[in-house]
Amino acid sequence: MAEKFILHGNAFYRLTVRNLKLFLKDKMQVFFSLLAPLIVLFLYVAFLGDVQMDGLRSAVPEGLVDDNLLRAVVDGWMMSGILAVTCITVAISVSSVAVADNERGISCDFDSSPVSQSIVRFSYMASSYICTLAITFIMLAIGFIYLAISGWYLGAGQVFAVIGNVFLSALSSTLFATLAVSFFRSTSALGGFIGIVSAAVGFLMGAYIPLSVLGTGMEYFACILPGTYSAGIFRDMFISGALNEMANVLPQEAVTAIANEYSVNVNFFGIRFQSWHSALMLIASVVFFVILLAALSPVMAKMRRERGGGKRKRISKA
Amino acid sequence: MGDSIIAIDNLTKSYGEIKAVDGISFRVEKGSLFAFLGINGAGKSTTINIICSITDKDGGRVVVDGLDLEKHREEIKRKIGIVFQKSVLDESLTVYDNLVSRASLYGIYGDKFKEKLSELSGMLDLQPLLKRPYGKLSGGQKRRVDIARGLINSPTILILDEPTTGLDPQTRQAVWKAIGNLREKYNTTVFLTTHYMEEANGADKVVIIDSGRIAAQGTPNELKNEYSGIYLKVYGISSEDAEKLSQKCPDGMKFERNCAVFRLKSTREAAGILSENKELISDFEVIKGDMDDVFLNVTGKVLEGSANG
Repeated sequence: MAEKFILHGNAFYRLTVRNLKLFLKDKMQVFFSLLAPLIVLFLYVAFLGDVQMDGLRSAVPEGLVDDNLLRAVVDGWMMSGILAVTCITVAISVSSVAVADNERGISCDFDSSPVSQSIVRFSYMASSYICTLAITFIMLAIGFIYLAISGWYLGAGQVFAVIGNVFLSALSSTLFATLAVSFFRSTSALGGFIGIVSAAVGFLMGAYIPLSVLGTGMEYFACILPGTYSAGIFRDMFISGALNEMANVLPQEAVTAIANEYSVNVNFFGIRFQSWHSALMLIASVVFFVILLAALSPVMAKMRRERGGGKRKRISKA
Repeated sequence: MGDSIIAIDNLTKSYGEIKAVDGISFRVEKGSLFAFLGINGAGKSTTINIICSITDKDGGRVVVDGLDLEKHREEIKRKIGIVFQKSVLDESLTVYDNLVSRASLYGIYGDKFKEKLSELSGMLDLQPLLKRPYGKLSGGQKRRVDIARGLINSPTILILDEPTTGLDPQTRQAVWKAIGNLREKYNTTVFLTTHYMEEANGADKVVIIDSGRIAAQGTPNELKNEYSGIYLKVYGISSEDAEKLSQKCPDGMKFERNCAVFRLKSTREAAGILSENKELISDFEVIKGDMDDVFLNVTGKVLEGSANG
């Protein structure tokens, strides 16, 4: 029993390392996985930051609120968008290794070996999770350094909550990505899907424009995506500190209006979610994806074996 | 069953309406070189994929080294090494990284892996390639690494799916030398599919598969005797004389560039015709049909890359 555990453990470790190396050696793939967060950053630096700052300045009485506080709200909103988007796009990009393996017939090599196919599948998930965590934490570290310079309003609890949210969001995204890529049989089709997701996810998570600007319908639609709750928790943690400071000089209604404009609390069909509600929704998404994957994986593996391995069979009537 | 290491009975597999494998049965003897011949889509790769548990069969029985595939999938997988027609290693990873990840699939790691790697490096001259990315290697170097991957689990059966297709003659020879060494040293059974008739010619047993069915099987010599003829090539013969001669050779005659070719049943028949028609024949050649000829006569088709193709 122990021997079998070591054998499978070693195969799992080696395959996970392999998947990570394959992803990281493909520089274009890494670049494209970061394209959506880079676009958010570029738009913010180019004009979005100033547009949001102008909007906030005009919403509060002149000279009453320190510009640094307003900047902290806008910076927190930008950081939240980048982190939430990164979790999704990196997870999908790393998971594409599984599709490439199928396309190139490498999965036939795995099928022909005695290692359990669930070990192979778990290794794809593990590499996706590790890579998503690593890249998101790098982004977070850069963000923390930036906030420390420009204006720090986070308490220790909020820092830990942000870190915890990275772990939870990366897990939910990895499971979603594993499920999504299992429906693709070619990397070119998946590339198209990644392009669409990268473009759409920034809007759906309120990274390019606050969700409230896009209307209540969009806010409700976003509720079906786990990423919305991930972004909601990040926003709450990054922005609440600055909003609390603002409450010293502004009436509570004005502070709440700003919080709602930036969707600091997710608008769940008219109910404003606290972060723990959003965390529960993220956990529920993890459970949902695990159940779906557990139900679909054996069916998909059987279908693949019936059609003759990962590759499409080319049969000519001789 | 005797010393059969692979026994296949009435194997069937369909993809939709197409019967890729249609009730085939054959045996592969332990330690032998077995050749599986057929054009693309004949059912060779499907059969291999079933033996390796990559594809599920629809019906029939597959027994490998006394183990039924239905009940002993994992044990059978441990006994088989496969070199796929198309490379299935990772282009961007080094040869070492490729082999270490594939060895782990069989529970080979640490000192056991180092030992195996050093053995394979010696056999296939891999040492200078280990740190190079697989995708940057030449076709021949890649094939050597593919074979090393197939041998990483010390299999008792090595399946080679068209291992030398696309390689230059020198590299093809090098690959065969490595396979020869392997058979000599470990008595490994080699199950081969190939387009090259000279490779099938060296096999202990050949099975010809056509449209999912076995068209013929036997040793190359048996197949040649049964399905190929003797060819008498007569040079510098006039068309009138050739016509006269063809009446004594009812199995057929055709003209090639500078000679007339008569198909005969046996070398004895050739000797008789030569002695009885000395006045018509001045320059001649008697040639025994080859495996290309066998394949053509059995299936009515020409293999890609064959002398006739």
